[in-house]
Amino acid sequence: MKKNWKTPQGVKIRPNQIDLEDDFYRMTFLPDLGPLNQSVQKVGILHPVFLEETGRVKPYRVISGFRRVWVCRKLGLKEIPAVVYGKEERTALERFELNLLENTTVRSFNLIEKALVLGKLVDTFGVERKEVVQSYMPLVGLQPSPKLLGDHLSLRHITSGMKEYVVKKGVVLANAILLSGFSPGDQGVLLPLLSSLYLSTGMLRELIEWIDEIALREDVEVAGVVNDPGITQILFHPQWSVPTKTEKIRQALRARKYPQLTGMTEAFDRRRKRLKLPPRVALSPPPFFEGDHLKLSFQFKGADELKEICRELVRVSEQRELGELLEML
Amino acid sequence: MNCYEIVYVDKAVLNCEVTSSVLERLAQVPIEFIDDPRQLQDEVAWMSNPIGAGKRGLVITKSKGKALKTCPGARGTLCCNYTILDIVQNCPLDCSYCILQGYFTNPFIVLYANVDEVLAEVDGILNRNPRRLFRIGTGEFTDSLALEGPIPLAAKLVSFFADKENALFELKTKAVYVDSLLGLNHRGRILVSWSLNPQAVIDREEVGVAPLDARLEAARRCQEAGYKIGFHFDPIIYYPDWERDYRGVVDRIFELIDPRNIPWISLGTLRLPPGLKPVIKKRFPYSKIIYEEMIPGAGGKLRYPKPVRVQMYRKMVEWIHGYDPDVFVYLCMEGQELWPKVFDERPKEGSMYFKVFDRNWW
Repeated sequence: MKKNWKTPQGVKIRPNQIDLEDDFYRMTFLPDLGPLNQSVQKVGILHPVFLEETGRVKPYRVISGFRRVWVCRKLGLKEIPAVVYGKEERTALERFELNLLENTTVRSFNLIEKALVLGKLVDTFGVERKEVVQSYMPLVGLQPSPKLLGDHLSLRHITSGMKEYVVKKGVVLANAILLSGFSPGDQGVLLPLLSSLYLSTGMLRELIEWIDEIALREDVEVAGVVNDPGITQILFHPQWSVPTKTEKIRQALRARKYPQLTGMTEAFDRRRKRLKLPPRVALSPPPFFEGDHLKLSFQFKGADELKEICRELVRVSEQRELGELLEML
Repeated sequence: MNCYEIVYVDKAVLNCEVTSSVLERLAQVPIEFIDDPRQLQDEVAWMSNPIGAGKRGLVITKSKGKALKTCPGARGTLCCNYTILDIVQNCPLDCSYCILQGYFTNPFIVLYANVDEVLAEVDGILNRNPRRLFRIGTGEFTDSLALEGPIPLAAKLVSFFADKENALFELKTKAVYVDSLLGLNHRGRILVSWSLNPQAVIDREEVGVAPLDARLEAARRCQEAGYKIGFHFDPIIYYPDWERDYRGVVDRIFELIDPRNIPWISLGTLRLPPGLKPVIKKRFPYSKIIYEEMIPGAGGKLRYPKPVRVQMYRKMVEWIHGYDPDVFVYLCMEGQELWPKVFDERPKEGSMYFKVFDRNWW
């Protein structure tokens, strides 16, 4: 990728002559235009955008500087400084590299943009995967790894709506890959649900996996899981807050994904309640009911309280319900 | 069975007898000579389906590790003391649930050509521990018989172990290539065992592997040749018709095999490390086994909840012992606490339980 660029003379171009629908070289997705907007209002465009002549009705396509052109349009600027490349100057890949290098000097890429750059290099410009890994992945801030390249390329299957969700919510790569595994239609079904909840990275992962696995196990559509009345009644509940809805939907999906475990947990809780444990005494099963020991823990402030707890625990040890709890293991 | 598209030969084993023999049998397959099998790692990194591709590549190299390895049983489980004779790694069969997918860094089928050196080391270990009974097999890191066509090792191993008094040698397989075993003098010390599943599971999850009836017919032929016959229901897979189908397999076993010739039948329900789930999902998109309710159990492996496992084991034991209560049935990779829930009686003194487990765990 070592190049000796010769830059053509700078010119002034009217922004409406630039075809912003043409995203052949674009690697910007959902940019934050606020700071640039302010800067342009104060001092104008400091660096020229790079354009390519197309000979079409709108005769220029952006090589580099999408955000600046957007801002100029929005602010109603009459002219924008530009460097225009003729059709024969440089290959398309070289122009794309120009855009890439210019971007890397001023900002970092979000997840979708990284996927966009790598996808275009492979699909549009036909760059060998080995070359992409070695020469381009470090440029976009990624470790040079074939697996990581594959992971990013899989994000091509994410719909534009879901891409927005990924960027706005800062979804991590592993979860974005899971989302990319859904069909466009199913992503459309998932998006309103996910957007309505407050999900940490781990919770999002759980939710996506549960929905996917329930649908596959029960041989129903994703919509059949997401639009189940048990879910929609929670989602559209007029009084509950977002965190409450999130937790209730997680519980509902967990119960459907793990019916045995949910049943065991509920049965354990019922029997434990009947034991009437003293305050500040906790009795819990082993994780996932694997193992043969119950765990008892308690807190006390003084010797008298400890004696009282011990007396109560002797009573508990003689109850039939304790035997039933042990029998569950 | 020859499914190889390339053979990589480590220059260090060019002069081994096993190398020449295998290359002769794979004369039509392209050969590439390599200095070090580790150099294949880079090639693997670029494969879109390294596990699938690995099954079509054979690496012949030299064993540099220990000849015998303990079975990597999960922590917190009762272990049957299976010791792995490490001469082949990976398997040409392609079962959806196979734990070997991603177990080794190298996805290719690896054959250690210095078999004689490996067996000499085993001989030394057996001689130094005359009072210990070793349960040894080749069926953990590979299928013991699936490679028999191009890589006929079984006869050599049977002959080696036939006169070892402190070793129970087991060839564990899903394949049916038993011709090479039939005329051997095994002195009754060798066990050939088959991993079984109902035909419905074979059709979905063990694509291209020998059908159930063919496996049982191979077992019957080995029985006729005087071998002891073992069976492994592992993994037992839960699905709506599992009871009817697994019972059918048990019925078929006892139609063909005399229970007196069955030293053991092992049971193990499906379990997998969490990392295997995405691999199965990607490689076997039609398979639904990973979507059943599974929870993290011993060793962090995903498995069915305990009540499901207990129910499945109890049924299996009931059906097997319905034919002969003396057939030794054991659980693979299950915690000690599960055994009394499955078996109504403690194992009898001197039974196969004590030989296999080497101590009284009950």
